Amino acid sequence: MKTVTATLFTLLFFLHLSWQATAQEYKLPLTSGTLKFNEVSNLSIEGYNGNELVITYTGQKDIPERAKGLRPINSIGLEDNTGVGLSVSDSGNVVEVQQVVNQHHNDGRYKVRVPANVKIQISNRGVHGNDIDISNLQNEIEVSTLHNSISLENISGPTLVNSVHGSITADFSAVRPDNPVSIISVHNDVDVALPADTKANLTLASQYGTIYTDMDLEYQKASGNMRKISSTIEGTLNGGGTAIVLKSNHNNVYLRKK
Amino acid sequence: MNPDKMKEKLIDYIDGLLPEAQRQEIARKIEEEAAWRQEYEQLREIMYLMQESPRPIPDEQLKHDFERLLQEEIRFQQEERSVVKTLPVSPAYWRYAAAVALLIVGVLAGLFVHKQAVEHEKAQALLQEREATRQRILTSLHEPSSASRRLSGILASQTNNGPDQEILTALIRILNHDDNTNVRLAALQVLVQYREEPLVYQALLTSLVTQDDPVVQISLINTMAAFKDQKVKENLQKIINDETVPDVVKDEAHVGLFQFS
Repeated sequence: MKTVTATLFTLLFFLHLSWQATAQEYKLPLTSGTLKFNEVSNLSIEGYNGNELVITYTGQKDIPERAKGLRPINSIGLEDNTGVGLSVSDSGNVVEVQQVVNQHHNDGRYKVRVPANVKIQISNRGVHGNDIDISNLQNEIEVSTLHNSISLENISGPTLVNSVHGSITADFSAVRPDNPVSIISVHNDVDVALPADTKANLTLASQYGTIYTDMDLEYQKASGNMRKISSTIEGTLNGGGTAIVLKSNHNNVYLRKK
Repeated sequence: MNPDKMKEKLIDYIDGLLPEAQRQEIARKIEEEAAWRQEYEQLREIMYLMQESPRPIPDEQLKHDFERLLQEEIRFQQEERSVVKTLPVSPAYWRYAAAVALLIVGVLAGLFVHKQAVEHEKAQALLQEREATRQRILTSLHEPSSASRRLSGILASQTNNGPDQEILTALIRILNHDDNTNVRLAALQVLVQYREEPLVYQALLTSLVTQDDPVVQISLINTMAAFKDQKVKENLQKIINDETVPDVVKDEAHVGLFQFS
């Protein structure tokens, strides 16, 4: 019995230790404006019905023994002011989040919860990190990456997303008038799902790939002297409406009906 | 007295055809009764206008027909005197008919002039609306805080009678300097359609080499290689020789050059 109790306590002790090591949290009051991420790898963003920005870091951070009592800094003068390896600056209408610790020393993931009506801007020109996941947001989303793939789910705001090497998947809960959508990947797939009743003016383009769809497109007739470029399809959905541009230079474009 | 009879008397009065006793009576009525006075003044005006306009001269056939009708009418009147007494086969009737015709012509002319004015107004409104849309597009193209507003402006610039020089210049600035890649690409998409403008073509040629966004530069290469222009070929060679250009862009330039061989 003594052995069992001792084992249980030991287990609980280690569980407690590992929880401390893996779940670090940073909070900032936030209800509107723009949330900007610069070169933050391994990012998941989720919209929720609340009034603060919550960033949770999960995973192991490789902090050397010698770094105890010191803080990480970088060449552009940024310091970790969050305790999770990020530098956050708040200039009123824009909150900017930047990575301070070197990205390839990180194998964890930043989980970000943000009020659903905050605008999101993400720029990632580096080669590190995994996919960027974004879900449950209602306002403008701008993402630009070099290597990271991008996944968007349950979104309904203006969407401007591009990547050189990453694939882009987007599942729209709604497409509202005057909320344009432009999703472009140079070397990977663009895969977009829209509600069946979406009213849209579509531009679908692929220079070296193929365009697939199960939606009923109304194709635009060529008029006057304008020559139709064969790799670009212009058409409308349900009589036309919001401008939607989907393009992959070297790979396929998939347009799905929800 | 019924209105038709009143008119007939008044017309004869104005023409001086009434016997003295009746003339005095009508004069008194015009003097004392507002309804008579009003009618008198209207008729006098119409008759004055009719005298001013040239009198139609009936041709022989018409004259003949008229005489025949007149004879028939006289016979008819003799048979049923009481009913036809007021049938207006008199100069007064012709004048009355002419007055109505004049009124109709006047109303039609008025309607025509009104229609012209309405159409002019419509054209003015359309021009004003177009200018308002143009201003809205220009404003949204310069909207720094919202990439989606700029994107909407670019896409709208194709619909409003096409972009003019000012909008094309704004699009060129966006192609080279906008913060958002998708916005730059939308500007490229529009500019390519107006490449016959020397200003636009020169800007595209320059941007092909100087573009600092790899995604946009790749799209420029993809699009412009198809033009089969020797200057494009030279610029693709410049991209390949430039050490600062990322490999992913150089690869595209190589693919573009293939199209020239």
